[in-house]
Amino acid sequence: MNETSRVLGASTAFLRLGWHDACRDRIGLFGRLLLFSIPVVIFATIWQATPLAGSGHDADRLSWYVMMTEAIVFSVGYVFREIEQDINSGAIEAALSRPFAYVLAWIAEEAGGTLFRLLALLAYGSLIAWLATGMVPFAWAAAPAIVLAAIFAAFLALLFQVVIGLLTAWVGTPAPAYWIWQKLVFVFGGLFIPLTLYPDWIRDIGMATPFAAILYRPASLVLAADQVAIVEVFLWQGLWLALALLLVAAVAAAATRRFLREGV
Amino acid sequence: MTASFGYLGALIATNLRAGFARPGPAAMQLVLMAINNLIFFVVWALYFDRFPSLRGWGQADVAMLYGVAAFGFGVSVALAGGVRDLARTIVDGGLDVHLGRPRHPLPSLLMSRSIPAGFGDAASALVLWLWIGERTLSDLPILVGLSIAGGVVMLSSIAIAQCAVFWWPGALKLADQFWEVTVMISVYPQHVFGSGVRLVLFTVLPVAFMSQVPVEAVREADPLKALSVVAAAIVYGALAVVVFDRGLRRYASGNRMVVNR
Amino acid sequence: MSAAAAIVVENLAKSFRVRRRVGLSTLFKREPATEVEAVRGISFSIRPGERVAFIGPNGAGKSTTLKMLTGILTPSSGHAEVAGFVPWQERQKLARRIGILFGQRSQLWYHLPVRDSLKLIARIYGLDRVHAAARLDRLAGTLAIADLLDRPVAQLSLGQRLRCEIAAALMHAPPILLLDEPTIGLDVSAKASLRDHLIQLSTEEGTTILLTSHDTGDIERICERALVIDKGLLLLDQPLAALRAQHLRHRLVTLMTEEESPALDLPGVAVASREPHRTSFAVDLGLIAVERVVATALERFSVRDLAIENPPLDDVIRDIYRGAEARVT
Repeated sequence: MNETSRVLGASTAFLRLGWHDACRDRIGLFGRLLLFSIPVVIFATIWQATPLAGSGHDADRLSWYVMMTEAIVFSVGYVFREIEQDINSGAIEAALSRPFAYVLAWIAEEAGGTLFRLLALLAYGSLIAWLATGMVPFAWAAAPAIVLAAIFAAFLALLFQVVIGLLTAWVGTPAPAYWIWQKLVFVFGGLFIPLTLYPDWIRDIGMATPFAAILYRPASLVLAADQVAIVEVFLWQGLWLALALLLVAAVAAAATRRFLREGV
Repeated sequence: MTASFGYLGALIATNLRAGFARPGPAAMQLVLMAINNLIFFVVWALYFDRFPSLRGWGQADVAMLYGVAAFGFGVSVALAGGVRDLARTIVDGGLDVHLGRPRHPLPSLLMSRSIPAGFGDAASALVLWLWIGERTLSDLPILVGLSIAGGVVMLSSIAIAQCAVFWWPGALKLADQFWEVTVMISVYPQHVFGSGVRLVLFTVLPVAFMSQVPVEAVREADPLKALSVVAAAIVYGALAVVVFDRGLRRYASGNRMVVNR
Repeated sequence: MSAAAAIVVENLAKSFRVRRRVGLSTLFKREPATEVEAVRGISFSIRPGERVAFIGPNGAGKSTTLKMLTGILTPSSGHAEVAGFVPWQERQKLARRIGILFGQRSQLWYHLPVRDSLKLIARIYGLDRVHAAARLDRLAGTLAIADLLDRPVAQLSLGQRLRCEIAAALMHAPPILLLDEPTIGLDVSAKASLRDHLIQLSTEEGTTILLTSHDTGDIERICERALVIDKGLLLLDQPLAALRAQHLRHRLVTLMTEEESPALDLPGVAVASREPHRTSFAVDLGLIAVERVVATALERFSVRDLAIENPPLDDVIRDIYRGAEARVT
């Protein structure tokens, strides 16, 4: 068996492990759906109460939009905490000696769990959004592309969390870095307000960041999903995924060098 | 009576000293939490840049609301952070130490932990009130007072939810979620909701008293609304003590899962 | 009822209703509860100033009994008085008259110097400053913790921490001290030091001490009387001397030797287990002193290491049961 297929096989195994774990955690999923409902209902209600006339938006579509952004936010677990624990407890030492890359294992396992949770959140969220607004804002043919964009977005968020987790090697406790990162995602990603409603200059900044590729770009597909828009979202996500993977590889290599040099 | 106040004072002082036992990391958490809140408020600044008002509320009102919620929550967890672990302490049998003392166990349980980042929340509240909220220093006493009363409602309702484990130990996770839901809702304006949701927010999930009603009281200079927040603090506080004591009786009768450890 | 007794227990019993629940599906169908009798009608009384060990294996009912005596648990039936109070009726009043130490639960604040916790505890019991300072001085001397007071608990060893915990339990000078499994995790020398401090305390202040343990060593190290409990029943209530003569007649001496399979042909010495370089001998104290066995072994073999152990509690309890049967038949 060659190296590539070995790595692929192992990654798939971790992915399935993560998926099954997330499947089994029924109470966790129930709680997550409940918590997810709250900001969605709050934001949707605020949009209903907002004087939107002349803005080019309507409250029903914006309700679908916040359902999408929140589903992506709630699908990603807290893998940075797992990595933090592994590093601070020294467990990573044993992991480094295994033949399968430690970081890749976490990414694959978390991707499995994130995928399951995302699909569950989108299914549940779409149902309540449909019941609440009585409409589906996109053509059925666009649905697979929208789901795929959400998957890429969640995966991108996951990669950044892995980087934050690995920062433990330098900063000891990465939680404050995570809070700040999360708030930047909320603001520049357009968690509640689509970037197109921002002032021009801040919209332009937001669009150029990975935060938009995580929230605004995939969620904007429920506002308008023509083929050009879909292709543009995938191109931006592809670019940021490539850069994020390079960043993960670089930080992981630097962290490994640090462990080998100074111990865990 | 004075002895009781002395005891509570000593409890608060000891808890704070423990929270700040490592001042460096505690201060960093505090500062980052304040920055964290202010970054999140940017979302509202962007909203009001685009839309003039939200059902009659402007940016200053929402800033005041966010500040009231942050102040009440922050001071509560900085002084009585034990509320977060209450359910776990009950399930793990950690009550016993507190029960072996000649005092009511609730104060020492709640004040067994301090979360220093809470003072960061309180600090961000000052910025939100005085700068973005366009309030003056003369408004501070009433804002602080109502925030603290709201904080008491929050502490009490969370404590009540955590006490569910006296009857059903499996409620541990749900108790944690009650905490998160409460905090989540408290930072958003609630006058946009319909009467059904608002009824819930005034009763089972009394979030209204933690931010919305205090802000309405100040905006409308309505002493009755201000009094209702204080009354809610007293009612929910008393209810928390009653529920805890009921739970304690259940605990003492020992019909729990732990037979012997 | 004798007013002179520090602790009186009469037919005390406690049963729990236990419901098994596994997984989410059983959340909806409730299985019938089963009664578990943790304590099944025990009686004893303890005089002021006595040091008593309450021993039994895990799950014997020791902690349940102790919790009833502190007022934390209400019994199903029976009666008890501690320092003249019925614990479950007057828990807070009783709390001023007893000191409690739960071996695995700390009263001390982990990141703070010990002194800060002790000062807070003085406030909890409403001691005035002068009184508290004098009390702290005295306890610091008796428990040898003067040097530890200004160090954070996080920096103390388990034995040091335990002495500070005892100081915390004694700040209000209670005449009765109840300790639940205080020796868990302590090494031999820390146990010995704990024994000395407790003995000094009970002689100086007349403190009545009741401690639970599942370690036979504690009986001899700390107490003058033993209550043995198993499956919720009181098996034995004896002065230590009698217990020692009847049921603690054996020691286990383990030798690590250069030689393979050393043999000791002494009266009252039998091989209990054997590996090539590690041999355990059961020594009958009625026939030979441990010192003689050790001296002989050191003389004959090149001993790399040796250990002297009390018999495991299970063996003692088996022995007690056997004795009871023997007396019946």
